[in-house]
Amino acid sequence: MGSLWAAGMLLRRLGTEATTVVLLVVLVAATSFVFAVAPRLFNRVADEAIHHTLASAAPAQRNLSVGLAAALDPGEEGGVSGVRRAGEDVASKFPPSLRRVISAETLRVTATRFFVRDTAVGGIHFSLRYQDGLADATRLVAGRWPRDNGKPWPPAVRPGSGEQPGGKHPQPVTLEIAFSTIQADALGVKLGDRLPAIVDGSDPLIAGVPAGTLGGGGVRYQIVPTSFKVVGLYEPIDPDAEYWAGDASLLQIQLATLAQPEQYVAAYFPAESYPSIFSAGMPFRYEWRFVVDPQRVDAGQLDQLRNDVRGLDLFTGTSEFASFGVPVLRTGLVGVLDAFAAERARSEGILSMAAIGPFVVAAAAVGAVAILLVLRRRSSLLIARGRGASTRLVLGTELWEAVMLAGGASLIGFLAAGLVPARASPTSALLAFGVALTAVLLLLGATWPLARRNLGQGAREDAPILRVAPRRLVIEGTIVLIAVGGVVLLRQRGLSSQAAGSDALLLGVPVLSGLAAGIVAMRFFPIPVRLLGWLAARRRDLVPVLGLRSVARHGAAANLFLVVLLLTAAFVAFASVIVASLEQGQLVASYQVVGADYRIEQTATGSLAAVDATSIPGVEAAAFGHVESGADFMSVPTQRARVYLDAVDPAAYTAVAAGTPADPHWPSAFLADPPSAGLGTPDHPVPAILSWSLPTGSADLGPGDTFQMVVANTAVTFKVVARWGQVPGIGSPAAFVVAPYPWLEHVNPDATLYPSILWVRGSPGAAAPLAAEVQKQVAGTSRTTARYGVLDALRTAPFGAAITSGFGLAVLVAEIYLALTVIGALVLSSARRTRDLAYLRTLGVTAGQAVGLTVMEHAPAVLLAILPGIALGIGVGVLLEPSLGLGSFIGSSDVPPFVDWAALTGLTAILVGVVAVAIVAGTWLSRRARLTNALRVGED
Amino acid sequence: MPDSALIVCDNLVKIYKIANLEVVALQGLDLVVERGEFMALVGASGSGKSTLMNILGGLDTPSAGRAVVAGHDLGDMDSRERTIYRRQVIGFVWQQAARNLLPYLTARQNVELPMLLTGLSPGERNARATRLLEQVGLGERQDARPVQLSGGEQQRVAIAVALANQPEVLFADEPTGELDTTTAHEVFELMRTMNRELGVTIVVVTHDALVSEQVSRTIAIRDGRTSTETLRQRAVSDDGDHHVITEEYAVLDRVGRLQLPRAHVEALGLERRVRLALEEDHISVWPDRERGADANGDGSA
Repeated sequence: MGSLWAAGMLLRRLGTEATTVVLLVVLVAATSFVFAVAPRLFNRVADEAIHHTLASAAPAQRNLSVGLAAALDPGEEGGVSGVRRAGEDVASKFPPSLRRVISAETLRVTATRFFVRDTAVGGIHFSLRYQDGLADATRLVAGRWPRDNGKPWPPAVRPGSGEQPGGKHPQPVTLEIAFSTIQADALGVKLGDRLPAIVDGSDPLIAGVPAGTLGGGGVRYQIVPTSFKVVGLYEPIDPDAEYWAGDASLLQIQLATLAQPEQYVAAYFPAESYPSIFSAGMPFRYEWRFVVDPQRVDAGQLDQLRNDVRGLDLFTGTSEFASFGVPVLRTGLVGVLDAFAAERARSEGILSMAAIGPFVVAAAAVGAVAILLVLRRRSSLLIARGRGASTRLVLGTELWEAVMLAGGASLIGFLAAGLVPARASPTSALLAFGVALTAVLLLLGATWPLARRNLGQGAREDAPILRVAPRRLVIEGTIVLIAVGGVVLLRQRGLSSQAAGSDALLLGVPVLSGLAAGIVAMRFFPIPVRLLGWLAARRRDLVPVLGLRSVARHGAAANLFLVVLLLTAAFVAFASVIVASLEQGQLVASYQVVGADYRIEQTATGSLAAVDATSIPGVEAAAFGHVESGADFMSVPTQRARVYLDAVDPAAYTAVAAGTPADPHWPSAFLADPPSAGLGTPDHPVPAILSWSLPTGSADLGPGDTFQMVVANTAVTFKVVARWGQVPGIGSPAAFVVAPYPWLEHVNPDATLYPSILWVRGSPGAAAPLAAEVQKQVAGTSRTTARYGVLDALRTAPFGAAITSGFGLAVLVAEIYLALTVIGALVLSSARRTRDLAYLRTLGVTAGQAVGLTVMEHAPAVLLAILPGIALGIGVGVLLEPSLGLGSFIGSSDVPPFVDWAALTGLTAILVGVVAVAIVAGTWLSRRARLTNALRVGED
Repeated sequence: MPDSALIVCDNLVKIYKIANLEVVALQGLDLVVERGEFMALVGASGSGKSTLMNILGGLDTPSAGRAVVAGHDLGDMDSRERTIYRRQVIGFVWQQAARNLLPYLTARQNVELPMLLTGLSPGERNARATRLLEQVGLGERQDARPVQLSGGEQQRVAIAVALANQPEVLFADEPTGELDTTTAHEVFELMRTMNRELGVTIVVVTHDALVSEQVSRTIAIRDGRTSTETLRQRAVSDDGDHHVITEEYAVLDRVGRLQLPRAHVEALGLERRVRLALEEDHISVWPDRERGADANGDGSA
């Protein structure tokens, strides 16, 4: 009965404070929802990010490939059925977590390599390959797909063994094959050609066969007279399709070296021919490819998947085959997942910093409402204490009530967050609990002074705070000292720290800095205000005098307002620095990747000279250049070395890149006119910029030194004018040389150095006409890269976008809570303000002056909080930004701090606007009381 | 209406609407206050005296009737005119000492505040504030804040604030309600001095009969109307003793209505109807004939 009575009393009391209680419950529930839903949203982002990361990774990195050098029985069902079963055996060793994400399995079978001498172009190292799904990924251009002729190959024999392959009267065998049209053109073969082949003794597969297996190690084989008949020509439907997995062996040919132009090519044979070839008794290379479907992976499986892949009972190697008969796993999946995990942890760390701002401001808003609630029940609490209730009893009652209200509200918020469609996170419950705990502590904290107060002080409620208790000063001083220490420690720890995840120091320093700044501002704020008030008193205007004196003397509500505003301003500025740095980094990275707004590269032999970019609307400038990815670098005496040569027209490129992050600021020697004779000789060397890293064995070349390279079939002497770490638009070659194109064009009049690259400065609208011009002039042999697309890809990458939108959302939430806090603070002081204003109205203050007073009471606080807050936010942002590792989100090593003053001004204006609206709303709430009611004393 | 009247209320009506319920706070109140007078309005709680003060103070507007203070018709003024009226014509002293002053200003700054509104120069403000604070006996405590002053001192500062712009009328709503008897007496004495020396008309609202004895005229308000008026005169007897002669009058309104004192009504058991008889120099009031005959046979009032 007693409990029921107490519950009834509690409900009656809550009923009388319904508005404030509802406000508190809604605020706590909303805060709990915001913080409980954040981890779920982050999970959604993480899932999108892992899909994006896996989809962006090269197929060879993402997928699993198991290779085996062996001779596997074809099986009773013919074709490669026996090989498939072996693949199934391999797959059965995969743990469930891995099997779940594999969407397809494909097989490649490559026979021992052959050598064909009798061709128009010389020797061809000839691989025979069967690959699943080729017919689907290509279209047949001529002939038909190869078929098996049903004649098994006689066993191969050792040379010098006295045996004759195929017996005394060997019957020649013919194998039908198909080439790609590119291969056929390069080799000079036609449909119907027969290519006589012998076993290629240089094949590492044969050289690697262990002694005693298939006749011993390092053996050569002899086979019956064999020829490959070309029966079909095909071309790929999409050469960039994932099917090819970065392996173009069945599409193109490879050259061994420039000096020994032997060609390597793979021809397609049908699966049903496998038993025929197998009967020759030579080994094969098998490769089972397991395709990982990014959509089947979610970030929650990450650790399990990583551990399972690491723990696979397979030999893991980087080369295709380790030793005969031993399956070798090749995959970059662990590396991709590790990189993703690091990026996720870094994002979590950054986004947890983004959550600090709203959390602190939300706590202030809840605190304001808590104080409001306690003030409303002030008289009843004092009556209770006056009638014998102890401090403990009062606080105990308040505790239960706070737990009921805040706990219930927080639970509602948590459950509502569960309705948001995203993967659950245990962090949600922790954060919701944290919100509830904070709210309970704030409610108790608001009650504490009343519960502990000397009962005789009741009549002095309106006395302005004139002195601060020494104990409070000590606490505040300690916070300031700890904050300063935190900043010093953070700086000492080093800005290069690659902290990932939630870093206590990184998280704590901004909060402590904000609190310290708030405390300092709170304590020093009255000084300039009093000074202004003193100056204003020299004049005859009431508003500034009274407004400034009021601000200087009223503590509680003004302090809350001041500190929250300062913290919000600091957070807004901090968020602006982080987001601006990231976006600037993305912009710089896009220029680094492309080198201009557009880059057109020639992908085959030919010239881009016909492309007239400058006549296209929207194009401002264009610059031709010539690149060679493997130019001979002759300054390495003992071995052949290749470097990336970037011949660029300095003046034209400057026009393209001027004022952008790609602006190279060429050395003056680059802009000089080339001499008319002796160009590229030791007397007139070509100026060159060298990369910091040079081919192994190079002399250490510094400015003024010379070196030689082969350009246009001519040995050209270059003179180093600078050493650079990177040049926009050339990717990340290990070593590069940049030289002025106008000089190199004339080093050999007999060998034209055609333009193979074109940089264009133009608007996004120029993309379509530029593409049309390129298509018209160099159809099919060029590739266009638009910086806008690169930038868009960087900005829409899940984690980067999550950081940008996370901070944006955090700023929005913080500003909403700020508005609530300001309104709460004004309502807190409304009784005093209303009475003061009513009293002033009896003295003859006009309505306009009353509004002026309101403005004057708040304007100094807004100015004195926002300006230091912005400065603090910028300072903390610039201090911490290098520690956040933002570069990892844009593929860069570092992203320098960047302050976007225009954006910051806009955000500050929005902040001031929010405060102004909140002040208007709060003032309106405060002024609803009638003048006579506000002054009503005694009876009618 | 006499020419010397500073405040005139004629059939003043004020109706409030509270939660769809109309409350008639003033029901045709008539009042005349002479210039330089120091008088009191008394009445029980809910009688309408604070409503009257709000109207006379320009804080509220009448629903009907007329209220004129120092030539300002309070029913015809707009908001701006009322502001000027509050600023220059009247002064206010409220019951709660702490609410008469801004807590963050010193005594001097509080007194200077109304002068700031009229645009006085800093020098003039300073001189007048000093003079007023000295007049109220707080010349030494000019820089004290309200929280550092006693209740009586706060009310003294409040009187100085109310007189800062040299108003013609000072309204005081229960000015000694929170003070002890001695302090209350001192505050009244101060107001009397100000009335005498500065010539300011003072109207005090109170429900305390003892307070009303401090003034020369007391008007009682009952049910939104003036009911009785008490005049006090100091007289000197033949043996030289000072004494106060008090005479209580019933108030006859413009249409001839009269409120009988409650004590008289109760003493004679007057109910519902009375008989009136016009005599040569007075009017007799008799209880209802039938009921009166039944009661005592002689119904003379």
